[in-house]
Amino acid sequence: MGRLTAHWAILGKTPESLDDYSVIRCSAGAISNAEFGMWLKAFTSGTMEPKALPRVATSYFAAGPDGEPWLGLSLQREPDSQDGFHRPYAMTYYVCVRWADVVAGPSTVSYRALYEALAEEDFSGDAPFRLSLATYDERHLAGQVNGTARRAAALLLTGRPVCVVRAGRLSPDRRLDFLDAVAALLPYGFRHTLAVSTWTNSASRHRIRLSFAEVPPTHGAWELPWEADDRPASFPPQALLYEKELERYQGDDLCDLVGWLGTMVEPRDFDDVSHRAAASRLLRGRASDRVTAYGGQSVVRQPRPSVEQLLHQCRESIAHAEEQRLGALNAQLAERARGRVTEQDRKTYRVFIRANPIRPPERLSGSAVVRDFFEILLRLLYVPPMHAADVEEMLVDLGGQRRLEHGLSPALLAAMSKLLPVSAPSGRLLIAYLQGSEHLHKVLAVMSEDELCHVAVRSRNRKVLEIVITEADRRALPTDPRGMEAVRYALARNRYLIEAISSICAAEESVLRYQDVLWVGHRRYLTSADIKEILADLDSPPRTFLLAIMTLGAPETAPALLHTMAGGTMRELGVTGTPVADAVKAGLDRMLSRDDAGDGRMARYRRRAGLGRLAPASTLGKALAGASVVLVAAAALALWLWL
Amino acid sequence: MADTDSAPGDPERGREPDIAMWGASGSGKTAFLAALSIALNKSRDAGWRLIGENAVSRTELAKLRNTLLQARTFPAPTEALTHYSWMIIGPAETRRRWWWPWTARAAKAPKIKLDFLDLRGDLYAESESNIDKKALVDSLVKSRGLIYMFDPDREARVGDAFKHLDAALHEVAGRMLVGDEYEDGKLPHHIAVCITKYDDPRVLRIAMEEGFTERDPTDELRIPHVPPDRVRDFFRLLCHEAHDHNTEMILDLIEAFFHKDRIRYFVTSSVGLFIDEDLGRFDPDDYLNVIDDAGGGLTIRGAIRPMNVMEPVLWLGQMLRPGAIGSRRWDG
Repeated sequence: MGRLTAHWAILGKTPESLDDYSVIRCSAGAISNAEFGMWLKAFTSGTMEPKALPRVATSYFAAGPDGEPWLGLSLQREPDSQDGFHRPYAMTYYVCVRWADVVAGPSTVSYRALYEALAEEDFSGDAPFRLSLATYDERHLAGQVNGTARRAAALLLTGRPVCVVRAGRLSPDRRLDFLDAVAALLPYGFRHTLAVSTWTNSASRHRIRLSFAEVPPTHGAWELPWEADDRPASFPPQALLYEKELERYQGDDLCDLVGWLGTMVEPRDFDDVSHRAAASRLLRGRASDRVTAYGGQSVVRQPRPSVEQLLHQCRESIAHAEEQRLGALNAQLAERARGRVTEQDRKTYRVFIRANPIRPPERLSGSAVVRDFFEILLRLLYVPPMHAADVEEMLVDLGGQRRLEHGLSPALLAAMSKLLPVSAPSGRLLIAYLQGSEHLHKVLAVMSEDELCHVAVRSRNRKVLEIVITEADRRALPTDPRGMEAVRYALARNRYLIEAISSICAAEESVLRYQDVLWVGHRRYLTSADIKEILADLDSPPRTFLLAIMTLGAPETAPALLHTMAGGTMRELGVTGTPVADAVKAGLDRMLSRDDAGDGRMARYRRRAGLGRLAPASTLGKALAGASVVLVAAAALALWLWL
Repeated sequence: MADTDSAPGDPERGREPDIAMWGASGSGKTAFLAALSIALNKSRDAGWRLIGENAVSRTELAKLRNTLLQARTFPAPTEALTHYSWMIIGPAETRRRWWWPWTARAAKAPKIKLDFLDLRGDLYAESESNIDKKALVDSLVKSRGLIYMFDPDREARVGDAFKHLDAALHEVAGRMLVGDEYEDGKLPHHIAVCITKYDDPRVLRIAMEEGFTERDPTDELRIPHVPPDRVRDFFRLLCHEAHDHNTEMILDLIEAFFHKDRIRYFVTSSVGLFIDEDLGRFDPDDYLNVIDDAGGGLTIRGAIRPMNVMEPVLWLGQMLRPGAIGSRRWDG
């Protein structure tokens, strides 16, 4: 909280007055009544409209023999009384502070802080105010930044005014915060010549540079619809560049940027092309070098680089095996990871990493600094604690274009295994798999059959499923009945991994996977007893699972399969014990009977259908075979006689 | 659009107003403009329309109309130099071909471009260093028509019309008449001098008591009006009645600076007189159309019947049309 001396004035009318607007009261001292009147009228926002009130506007002027710069803020309200012509009128309460005082304090001043301080005053007497001003709140300002604010800031650097339209529904408070946020996206020194208003009348001649209005002025101003994606026609390249640069800053980075821009207090003039051009270049490459280009002066403190810039530098350090530099960058990156990272930030970073893959050279394979980097990186990219799904994401994000599973850096894998919680066995399985068979066996060795199957079902991850089935196959040896029994029991308990397979695999692959599972569990063609046991506990098994059973069915098991399927279906439909169930059973018996009567019925059916029984071999064939034998014998006899 | 280094908010860039409004604070300039489209709509010569030439002017036109018609009150005092780009479009005229005069064909509809400059009343009293004042004088120099609003009510109570007019005229004359371009020593503008607030009892009573009013036999409402040939005298009388003795010099001041044939006087009222619907005609005991509301403001009581609001504008428009008699171009 800082305190500033502020001079003040009230522009308006006394009730029943026939006069025009004038300064009806003001503080004594540095600024005269006439000066107040001149500057207040010069920075009018246009004719009062009741819906636009209360209206807050800022202004600037130079006073005194030395042309000392001042910064002003006004609040316009409508009183209950009328003027002498019975018309409504506005009262404008105005405070102004010396620019030198504003920038000399420990903290600069936001428009909101000035407004809130003004609202506390009673505008009586003739002594200047001692305003209690809130400190410059970068976080609050950054929180008000949206796409419109970024675009408005960029467009202001073209030198033309910006008029925000289609925002009539916003409260005056929200509009003021927006104006403050736009100013905060530019070097603070520009406030020195920035007049803003929460509402202007575009038919009125005014010199407000940034404002809200119903329609934009006819000439000279950029029309900026509120929260619209489309850029204005003829969007100038330098503005586009600045907007793009601003878009790169999110979360804490944006707070830092606002704070940094807030330190650039040297007076800047929007009408000065060189000042605007310098500001347009300001954000380019601000990360690595101490900024000295701006206005030819060095800034108070070095700005913190964005996370993307840090990642870029880390990537370079790793590529050049600069461990020491990487260590220093790790510290900065870790600080960011400890701060607030939004989901949008994480997405942005992941996109950056995909576009800029990080491949440590061989000589850094065992580097603890690189491992630390990857650990910090993972904290930035994924919400802790990590899960198997994150590992999948990681393969996409960090595996490069071909998503090379075994091309991942050991340091990365080590970092991942460190971050994955014990409660994420599927992730640990994946990590171990990526680390190599030795690691995988170690992890698998401590897992029971039931845990294995449970992990496969829970993770619904293709690679985990593959690992589990392979391990089950290894354990279920025919020579080890106990191992076989354990695997079979675990598969049954976990519904033969149906949930995992059906959610991962398409139809054909599903059948093949179920085949694997069933074979691992039984190691033979399925008997009728096996089929009944498998299907007994499964309600509504998927059709792919049934097909898999059929592919492994032993001879004479069709009746068992059909009866079991029918029984399961009837249980599911709730028709067990009904006449329908009896009819189904009778039908199945008839279909599956092998007696003569059955053969006779089939023969009659075939005759009716015009189908005769095919002979095992035709007479012509027999004749040809006999002739062949005779010919061969005759030939052999002739050869023997000739020899 | 190219980058510029101009001062922001310059709606008049490259385009100066054809017609500028002139008058003290509260003299009814904005109300006059608000009533203009209503007057055109109610005109007996149907077919005249007022439209905004751009989004800003259309929005402002709608706001002004709504203030009178919906809110039934008057516009707020103008705080800043305000620019309206409007256009009056008339009914299409008919013409006969010289070689076949027996049938007529529709010709183009007449269009009168109206670029109005409305201003806060005290701007003329500002010093020349005031940026708005400078812009105002610039625009007056380049404009071609003026509407001067004289508010008898304000003059009776305050009496500052002469001060404002005198200062402004001398500034404009100083810019225009120093050279040799206007050898006759007169400003080249056409000027419509409008006596406002005819519906005010003080104004109407003077007109009626001093015998300036007549009844139009064709007017079913029997509203007393001041015939055109007597408005100048009525204006002189009102100037004599003013609070400030200097006011009586206003007419002489105007005629000293402008060609007499380019001055026309009108008695106007933006909202007109109240007519009791049951009575169906003017009632000298009940004609107040603007009354106090409960909140201390003003409200319009009955139907809005603008008087002589359209006429000064049409007159100026016709005078300023290219090729019109009396129109004259200059570069300022």
